[in-house]
This record gives sequence, structure tokens and C-alpha cells, in this order.
Amino acid sequence: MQRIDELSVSDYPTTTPNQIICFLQDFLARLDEVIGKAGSEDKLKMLNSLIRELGIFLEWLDNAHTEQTPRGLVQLLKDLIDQMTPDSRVIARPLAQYNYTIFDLGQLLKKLVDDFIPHSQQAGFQEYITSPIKLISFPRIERDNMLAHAIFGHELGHPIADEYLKKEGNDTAHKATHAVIQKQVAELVSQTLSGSNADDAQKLALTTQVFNIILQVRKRALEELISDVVGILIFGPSAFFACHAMFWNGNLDAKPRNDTWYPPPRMRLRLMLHLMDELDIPMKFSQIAGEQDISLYVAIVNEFLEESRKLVDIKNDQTAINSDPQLKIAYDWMNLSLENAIEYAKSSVSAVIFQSEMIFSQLPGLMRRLELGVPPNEVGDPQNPQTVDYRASLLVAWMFKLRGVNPDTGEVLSNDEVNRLYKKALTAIEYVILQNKYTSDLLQEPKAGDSA
Amino acid sequence: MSVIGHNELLKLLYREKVEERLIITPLLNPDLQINEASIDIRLGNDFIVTRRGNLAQLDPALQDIREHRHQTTHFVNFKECFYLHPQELVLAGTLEYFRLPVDVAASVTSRSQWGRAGLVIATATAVHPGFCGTITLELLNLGEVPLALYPGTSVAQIVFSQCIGGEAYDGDMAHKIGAHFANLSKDSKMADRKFWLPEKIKS
Repeated sequence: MQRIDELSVSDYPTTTPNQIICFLQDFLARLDEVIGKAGSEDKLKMLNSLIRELGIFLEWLDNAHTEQTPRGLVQLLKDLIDQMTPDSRVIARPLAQYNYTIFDLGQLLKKLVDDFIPHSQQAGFQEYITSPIKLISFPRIERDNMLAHAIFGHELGHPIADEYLKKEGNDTAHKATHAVIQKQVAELVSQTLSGSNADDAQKLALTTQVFNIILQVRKRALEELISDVVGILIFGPSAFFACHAMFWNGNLDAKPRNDTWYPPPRMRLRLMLHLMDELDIPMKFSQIAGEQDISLYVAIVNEFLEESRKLVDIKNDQTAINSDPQLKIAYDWMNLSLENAIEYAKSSVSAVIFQSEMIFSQLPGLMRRLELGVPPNEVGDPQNPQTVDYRASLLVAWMFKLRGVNPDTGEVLSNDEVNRLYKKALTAIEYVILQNKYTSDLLQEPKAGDSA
Repeated sequence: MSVIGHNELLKLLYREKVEERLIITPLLNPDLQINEASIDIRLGNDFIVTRRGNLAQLDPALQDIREHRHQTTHFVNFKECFYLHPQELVLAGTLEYFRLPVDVAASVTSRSQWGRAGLVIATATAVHPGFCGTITLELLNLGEVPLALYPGTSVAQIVFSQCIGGEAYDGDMAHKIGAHFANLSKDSKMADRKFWLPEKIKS
């Protein structure tokens, strides 16, 4: 309890960590009463184990304060999550591991209340658990790299992927496909065991095992690929650039392995590039290529996309999958569903869709600002400036980074200049959110003289 | 060199060429913020306070790179407050980001409402032509009672004047965002430090 009290004096980017601290204080106070009434040693041991497990909250909160977590990142994610699930609360913290995640913390709090608080006292916890609470984690090493955080588009896609898979599970056509796949698996197992002394029970056991693996591989592939699609649908090309940066030094053709069953990175990049083509993103870049302020940057982006196309035209990832009979069945099956899954993703993110027409029109003005050293948060007539979409701020910063040249000196950007770019992108996002809120709040305020 | 008044300020802010324009962003409420001969500026969210117990002295002759040992940044959300106690000096970043054209310089001063409550925007108030970044305000409470400072509050104003023959500033304070501590031992204007300062070994 003392450690939790200590954390309550830290500065946090939002009020959510303090609300979680209040929850923990109330929860532990009630738990103290439960411990006092525990009738058996087993129950005491179980409660002791629970308290130890709650220690994880200390780590989350200890890393969620503003010295560890960029405020703009939290604001951006809260804004997006709010549009997808209104009234959400957000807590973010860096991780030592290189991993981005969004965890449903609200469900965990609800379970703690359901499992350990007497029913008569649960009403006092409702205010903590009625709104969704998301725990966002990002790699500490990328803390200040606002551009890399476009990866979160992918993370926002995971709940959508889960919804799709749940919906698909009730679909009769999907159930019918199960039977076809089971037949394929049975044939595969027969071939594998031909010449062996395996009896029918052993064959059945192996068939079930292989089928379960195939189910798992297909599910994981769909989860990741749907999430990649959502990333592009929300963040546009910035999501592609961020994923590319994350994948480029790894093995692009790494086969799905039985720890995570991640699909090969080359396949993921191919799908994202394909989706960008379908959304006419390259055409949008071409349309602004003639604008003086941005032409050099568009040329670099076009080169980058061309190189990426060459990268995904290589089919080593598919060859590797096709050479493994189990993976081949799983991925062939997954490919049958992918189109439907993409359509589902598109319909699920309409509230936060990347509005390419508007965003691309904002890029030339934003680039001019960045070149002048000013955060890219507004464009247009200075008498009536237009606050931009913060995804335009992010994209223009990515274009600046991809070119990698100081416009004043013509020299390659130094590390300091790149860090400065990250900070300006972050500041622009904070400004955009503040400007939108200020404008909308003032518009809602009754003017002096209006009747009450 | 004359102070730039309201109408000329508007012309500066609305200059056609963006590179020649006075940029203040976000200028959330121009009608409220642009005065007769100055522009009100707002407190940002970051405040730097000194941890005196970790600090023997600030000595430019000491190459102490551990500035984090003796300063703490406090982030204060909107609608929350930072208490500035009597005789306390803190650094606070402006909410607004500035880019001055090369023919304009500026100085920062308190707003009189706050000045009369004891708040002084202290000492280093000059902003050079071509400056780009947020401004770090040195806030000192000369009054008798603590002052509650809320991010977004207009506590200071910036007065602009014409600058003839100026060049764009690109010194230590350029392109900063938020409040920044002065690292005296890294002052680039003290390139001749060996002549002026004694050799000292860090304690």
C-alpha cells in the first residue's frame, strides 16, 4: 500500500494512472477485510499470492509517468481509441523488450473485483470498471521515436481481428470449410504414416494434433495480417514505413514458428503495399509531386516504394511456406478468408479511417513548416489557419526522415536533427489535439448575452 | 528601433511568404492574445525545479554533465496547477512555439496582472531574430504568498521590435521544446573559456 501511495505523487500524462492508483488503494483496503475473515490457510495462501501478483501494477505505474512516457503518444492513442470505443481510458508505459502491445486492463480490474470483492461491496468499484481501460506498452528504446509509434495502428487492429475470428466461427460456410481441411489433414497424415505401423488411434491422435496446429497457424496469420491492414487503414503510409523499419534488419522470410506463429515479414509488407495500391496511395503521392515544397520528398518516397515493391516481388516467403505441407494447408485456407477479413477491417475502422484526400492536401504546407523548423500542426491562410489531421503531421515527418537531408545545408541529417524531428512531430500532435479541443469547447460555450 | 504595434503585428503574422512571417503556434485565441503592442503567451506543461540538495554550486568552470542530478522536470496537466512559492525560481516552457523573421527581435516580460501578484518573468528576456523554438520563462515569485500556476494561463507577454541588419539565431537555445535548463559549462559563447575560467576538477 505504501508503494502505491508513493506512486500517487508522480506526474502522469492523463488521469488514468491516478484512477488506477485509487482503484488499487480501495481494492487493497477491501482485501484487507477479506484477509481478516479468511477461514483457512489455503485461502490465506491464495490471497498472499494475489497480492504478490498485484506487484505488476507497481511496474506499470512506475513507468507510466511523464518522464518515461511521451504525453503526445498517450494523447494520440487515447484520441484514436476514443473514436473507436468512446470514453476509453489509457495508460502507457515503456517496456525493456522490443514489443508493442495494447492490453485490456479494464477486463483485468473487473475480474479482480468479481473474484475477490464481496458482492455487497462491488458497487463501490463500478466507477473504475465501467469504461474500457487500455494498457499500452512500447519498447523503451523507441520512446522518443514518434514516427515508429505508427506501429500502434497494427495494435489497434488486434481487437478487430479478434472480432472477425469470433464472427467467422459462427459462419456456416466457415464450418463447412473445416470439414474440407480435416479431410486434407487426414490425407496428409496418411501419407506421412504410410509404411509405418501406426494404428487407427495413433492416426487419429496425429490428425487431431496437426489439425489443431493448422487452426492455430491460420488464426495467428489472420490476426497479424488483419492488424497490419488496420494499421494502413488508420495511419496510411506511416504504418508501412514504421513496419518496414521494424522488419528490415530481420529475416523477411522467417517461417511461422511454433512459439508465436508470426507470418513472414515479407508477406506482411506485401499485403500492406497491396492495400496501399488499392487505396490509391501512390497516386495520391503523384498528385502532390508537382508542388514545389514537397517534390523532392515525394521523389524519395516513390523510390522507397519502388524498392519495397522489388522486395515483395521476391516470393521466398511463399516458397518456404509451400514447402511445408502443414503451413501450406493453413496459409491456403487463410488466403481464402483474407479478402473477407480485409472488408471486415475496413468496415470496422470507418470512424478513424485515414482520409487520404484531405491528408495529402495538407502535406505540402506542413513540409514547408518542417523545413523552417516549425512543428507541422497547421496549414493555410495565416489569418485563418487550418488545424491538420495529426496523421498528416506524422506522415510529413516520415517523408522528411526518409529524405534524410537538412534542407538548409544539404547535408545528411545528424542524430540530433533526427531527434529534433521526432520532437517536432510529437509536439505537432499535441498541438493538433489541443487546438481541436480548444475550438470545440469554445464553440460549445454559450456566448455572453445568450439566454441560459 | 521601434516597438511593433497591433496593426503591424498583424501584418507580420500574415506576411505572404511563410519564411518571412512571424510564426506563433498555436495562437489559440488571437483576439484575446494580440494586444496593442505585444502578444500574450501561455504557460506550457513543463516546469523545471532545482534540487538544491544535489547541487553544491553552478560553476561554468566545472564540466559537470550530470545536470539531471540537480534538476527535476514536473509535467503539469491542463486544469492542474503548479505552486510557485515565495522567492522560488522555476523554469517553464511556453505553450507556443515561435519562429521570428530576421528583421524582428523580441523581449518577454510579465503581464501586469501577474506582476502585481508578485510573479516576475526574470532576467534573460531577449529573443533574437530568427529564433525558432519554445521560450523558457524564468519565473520568480517575489510576493508573499504561493501562486497557483495553471498551464495555458497567459502569464507573460512578448514585445516585438524591428531589427535592422539581423541574422538568424542558431545558438544553444534554438529549436528547443519545453522548458530547458541552462548548462553553463556548455555555453557555446564561452568558446574562449580557457582564457577566462580556471581549470577545475569536478568534485
